[in-house]
Amino acid sequence: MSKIHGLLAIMVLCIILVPVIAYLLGGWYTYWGHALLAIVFGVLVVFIKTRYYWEEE
Amino acid sequence: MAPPIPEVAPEITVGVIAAITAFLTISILLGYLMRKKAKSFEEWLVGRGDIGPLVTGFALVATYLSGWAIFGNAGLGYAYGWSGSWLIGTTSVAGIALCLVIGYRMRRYVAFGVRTVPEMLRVRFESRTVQALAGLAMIVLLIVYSVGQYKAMATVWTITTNTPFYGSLLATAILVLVYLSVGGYTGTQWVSGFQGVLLTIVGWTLGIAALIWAGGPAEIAGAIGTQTFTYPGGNQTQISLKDYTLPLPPPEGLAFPGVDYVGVVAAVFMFLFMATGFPHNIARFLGTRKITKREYWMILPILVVGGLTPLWIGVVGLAARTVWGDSLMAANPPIYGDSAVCGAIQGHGNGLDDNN
Repeated sequence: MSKIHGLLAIMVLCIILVPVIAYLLGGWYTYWGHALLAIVFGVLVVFIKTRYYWEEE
Repeated sequence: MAPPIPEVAPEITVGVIAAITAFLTISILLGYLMRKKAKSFEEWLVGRGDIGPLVTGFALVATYLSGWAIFGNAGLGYAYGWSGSWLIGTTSVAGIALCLVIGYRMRRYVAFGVRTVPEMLRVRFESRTVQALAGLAMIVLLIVYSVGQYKAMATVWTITTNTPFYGSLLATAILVLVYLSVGGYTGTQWVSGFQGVLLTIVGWTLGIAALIWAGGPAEIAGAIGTQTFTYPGGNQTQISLKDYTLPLPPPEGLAFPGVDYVGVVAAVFMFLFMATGFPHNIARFLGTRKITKREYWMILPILVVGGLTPLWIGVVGLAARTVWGDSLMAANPPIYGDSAVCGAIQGHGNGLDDNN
């Protein structure tokens, strides 16, 4: 598995974990945990864009 | 015994009118300035392709933070407790980051004469049918979407000034028409940038202040855990607010995604793709200049900070529920939980006065 697939797998995990932590944790941990997962997703998507798919004009 | 819900006081009305007047004056001045700078209709329409990452980032934040985020989220937190978070958009940052990645390509289509999102789709798919369908979809989407925005603006105006609701609605419609027709694309971009900064500061400030006002995170979590759902109008139920699902029976349950985990998953995906699907979001990149990788990365923290604003407004609703219980659900005028953010501001202000 290439590095990019590993990063994509983490991004997918960030989505899958959203309902899972809501079910398992609840309260403020879930509320801000969702935000943390979304930030990790955002950093990874921008990293993939700039590292692998950046288009010079 | 819950403290009384604050009434509209003359000083609140004056403060609101002064704040909105200042806000609109700055917005219209920025629009007018950009209109004067535009040397042709073309420049008025799409600008000169020289807008940097800071303005683009905050403009995207502003177009994303609609009436839902900066106002309605308090109502969601207030009425539905933790399960309201699915519509509060706790995962908003993921969607808005995806919008950054996809939206930046928009600027490349400007070289092909593209001026709108449907035109971009025509060029991309070489099909006028796709362009027409996209235009039609946008009209339908934005009419429905605008209802929420006008309702939010008119509701705030009604709660804080006691002006009749339909008068407030008409006033906001006229203001929006003037605002949109003055500045063109560049004006809108700069005004949106200004609003993005302002809304982010306001949202974070309100959220943190509300957290303190309600006694802190533990106090709020404890209060939400002991309360039950109340229907608009005041009919109480035994359905607890402590969980991230709220099993409401039909018909209300059919329209609320937090009713079970099927709806929850649907809401997560909606927020993942919503920011990119909104044409007014990806259009923020039409006038962006060519930026470096470093500048591209600069936009991300702006989107993270701005994208957390909806969560802070949700905190205001949870705090209001902690302080007032379900009183707002039976309050008159019948705005219910949606009045949480305005009530919390007034209540917090009164509390500070009392302490002094």
